[in-house]
Amino acid sequence: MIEDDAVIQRLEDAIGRDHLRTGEATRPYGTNGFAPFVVAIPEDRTQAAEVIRAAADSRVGVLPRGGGTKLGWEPAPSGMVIVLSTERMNRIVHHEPRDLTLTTEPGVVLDRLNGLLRSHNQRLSVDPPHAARATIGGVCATNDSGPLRCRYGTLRDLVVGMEVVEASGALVRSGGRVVKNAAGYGLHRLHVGAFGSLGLITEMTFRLHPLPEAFRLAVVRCRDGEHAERCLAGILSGRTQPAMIELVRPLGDDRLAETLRADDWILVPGYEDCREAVDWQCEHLVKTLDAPVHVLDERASETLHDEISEWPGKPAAVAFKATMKSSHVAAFLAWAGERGFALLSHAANGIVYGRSSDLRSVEAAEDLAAAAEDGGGQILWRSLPADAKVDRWAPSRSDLPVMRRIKHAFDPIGIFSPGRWVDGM
Amino acid sequence: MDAATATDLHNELRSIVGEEGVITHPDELLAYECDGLTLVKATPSAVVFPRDTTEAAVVLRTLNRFGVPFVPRGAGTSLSAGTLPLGNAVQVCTSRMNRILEIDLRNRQMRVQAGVVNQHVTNAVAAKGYFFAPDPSSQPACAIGGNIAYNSGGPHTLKYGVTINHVLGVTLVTPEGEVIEAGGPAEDPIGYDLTGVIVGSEGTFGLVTEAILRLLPTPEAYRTLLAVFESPNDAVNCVSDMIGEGIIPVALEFMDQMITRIVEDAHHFGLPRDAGAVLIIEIEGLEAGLDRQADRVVEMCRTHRALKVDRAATEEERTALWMCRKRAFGALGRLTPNYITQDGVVSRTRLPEMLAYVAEVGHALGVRIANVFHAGDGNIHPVLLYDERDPEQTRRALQAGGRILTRCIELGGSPTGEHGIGVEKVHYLARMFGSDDLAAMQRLRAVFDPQGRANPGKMFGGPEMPAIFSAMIGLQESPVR
Repeated sequence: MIEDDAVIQRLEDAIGRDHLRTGEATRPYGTNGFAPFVVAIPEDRTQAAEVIRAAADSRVGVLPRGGGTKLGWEPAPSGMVIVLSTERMNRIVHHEPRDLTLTTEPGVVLDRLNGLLRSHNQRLSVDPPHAARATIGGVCATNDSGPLRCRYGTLRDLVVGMEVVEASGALVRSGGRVVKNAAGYGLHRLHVGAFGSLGLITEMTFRLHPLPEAFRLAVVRCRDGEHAERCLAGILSGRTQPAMIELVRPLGDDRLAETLRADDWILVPGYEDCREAVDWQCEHLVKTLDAPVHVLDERASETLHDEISEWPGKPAAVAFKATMKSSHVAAFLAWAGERGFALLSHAANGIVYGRSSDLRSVEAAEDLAAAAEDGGGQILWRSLPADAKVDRWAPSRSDLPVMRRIKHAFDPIGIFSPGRWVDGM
Repeated sequence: MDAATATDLHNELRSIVGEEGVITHPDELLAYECDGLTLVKATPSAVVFPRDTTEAAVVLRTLNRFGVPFVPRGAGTSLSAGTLPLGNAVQVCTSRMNRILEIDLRNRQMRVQAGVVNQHVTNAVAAKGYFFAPDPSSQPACAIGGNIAYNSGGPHTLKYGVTINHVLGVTLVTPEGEVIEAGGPAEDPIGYDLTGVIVGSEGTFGLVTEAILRLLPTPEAYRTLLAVFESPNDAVNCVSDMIGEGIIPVALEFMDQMITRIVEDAHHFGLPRDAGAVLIIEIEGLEAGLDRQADRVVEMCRTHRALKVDRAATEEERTALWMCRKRAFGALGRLTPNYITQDGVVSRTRLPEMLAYVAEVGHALGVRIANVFHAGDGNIHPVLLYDERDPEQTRRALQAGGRILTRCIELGGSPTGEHGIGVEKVHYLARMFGSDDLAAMQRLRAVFDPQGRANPGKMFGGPEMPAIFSAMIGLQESPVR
């Protein structure tokens, strides 16, 4: 306890008592699975580096936290950790509209970011769940994404530069603020999706896109998995160029099922472009697809897009994200649907989210993993019953040893996000 | 290494890849002493041509056992001397690894060996309506492995992004002969984004032997325009405003008066010889709405005082317009025995400032500089003309290039947008980044190549660095940061 007090004292010296939370006050920053030992809320990179140095010196873990929307994902952090909240590091550092780039601190909430950009008719083209709470730093650290990844990729494709505080407290930059840059290694890409296990992201630069002139979704009712795959493959090889294509099988108790007025196979292609091109594509789809197509108006399209984006973020007793080749998605959905999972997929990208309120559905875990692997991908459990005997991570691959070496190279004493990511493998 | 050991090594290599897969004769090695940056030369001690990942792994394990460094080489089109065999290295060349392994149009991907030529990827799927987006100027010759090493770009990357945005996975053989499959046919592989750091690592992590590439559907329609401006500043301001207004052409190429005149004199395309600058602007997409977008582009050019804007009316006219751009470098031969194509980046909005600086440097040092570049992403390519028979001219051309790159960094840009650091820009990497940044990069390198045997001397420099590039920084007193 004396040592704990020493750590807290040092944090207090670094960032001030007002910006530390201890005891009961740490509660909102934890999850069911873990409680932070102390919460530090630094104001900027300098204070953040002080927090990290203090943690490293006393061998206490550091868990970066933005909006806390993904802290519940498996595996939970382990050991004694300082939660480093980025809520005060919420400045937009630079935005030159004519350059279509934006430099920001990590604590900016996604809705606020895109609200600001909207006034310039621009956006950061990423649409993950929890847009009202998730911070850009957290979305970046978890490489979370949404339906629009079909056209724009993920933040791995949009990040052009970064600044990170390493375990030593040193500030490390890579990339830059220009959209094209071949100088040095792309260290920033390593941090996207690293779950804060290699350092704390203190600044990011992204490329932006102009807002599209028009946006429309179409709802396509499919008979079964085979029909869904035929429609999907038909759209992908056809003349329309969707910006998103979702294949969903919501269950009856789902709001999405209500919106779609269905509980079976629904394909949702989305078009964004100039008005003429969007209209033409919707008409073309209605004329050429061998399935009933209902084109939504602009407002209904926005609403459905938001519901689809938010869907994977809803809590569930059992939840997973599976990856596979696009051609395997429909068959996987047929198969997992029979095992009681509600499912939503970014079908062109082969990203499938499944969830179930039935704890017994976890019995299908091994088979699900095998099915994803069969499609060239993997399965990642986001939520599992505490006593589930499931391999929480993919089976070992040839790249795992090198990932462990990377973790060791950047965080030799293992202070960042202990228990998470490669640590949990 | 003594002669007997060298002979042992060469014999071992021959036993792995066959008699015809190893070159050791001095006359034959001459062809491998430089790449696209012909200013510097070094002879490799041998060149080895493995046929697949398995052979490559055995080759690298053997080199490792002999303690010999190696340099990966594709088609040898690097413009930063990235394949220069410093320190007696052996070159491991991918030109026999040139097979397309699998085409999967349903999943829009293709698995290839690293020696496959960039253009051949698109050729293999063009009839089915697909293409591979990265299109460096060396497209007809350059190998996919080289594109991966340098995270190559090209004119069309303004809309589509660079190589990293089109690679799903790679197979890397480390200098110790370990085979790592990074990424794969599915997106979002679990764990760290190894593909994301292997792409752009300039061969310093090992040898990439295979890759899974993304394919895109070929756009249905194009509109290609040529806009003529009295002043270069009007042209680049037009570019910034166009993009700020939300028009993202697929390509936006800038050519200044010197280039325009040379091209016109050589090929008679009908370009105006008195124009300050021309822009080649291409938009693409569905036929529906494309004319209205083209109208907006024309209007935008007129707002920026364009003297005239021509639209290619036929596919022949479009090809002719692109020929102007693609022939630009070839036509330079009429003006000068030698030239260096520099490569730097500033944000689009700093282009006017940068162009003024380039002109100023050319004037101050008495170096003729032509400008032809990807204006859409701020990637400048000043072309510095010189005659290598005159050492003073050579020195001044290098100096001028050095000043321009330094200015790019000072303006918050980068000393390279697509050519990479290689040997040429080692000093500039150290200007752009601080010691903590470089240390982090070195730590990552050591994860893959703890002994520094993969492409030695590149990116971070080393004792074998050719002195010539020091001339580039000769006039700068202190680092930028």
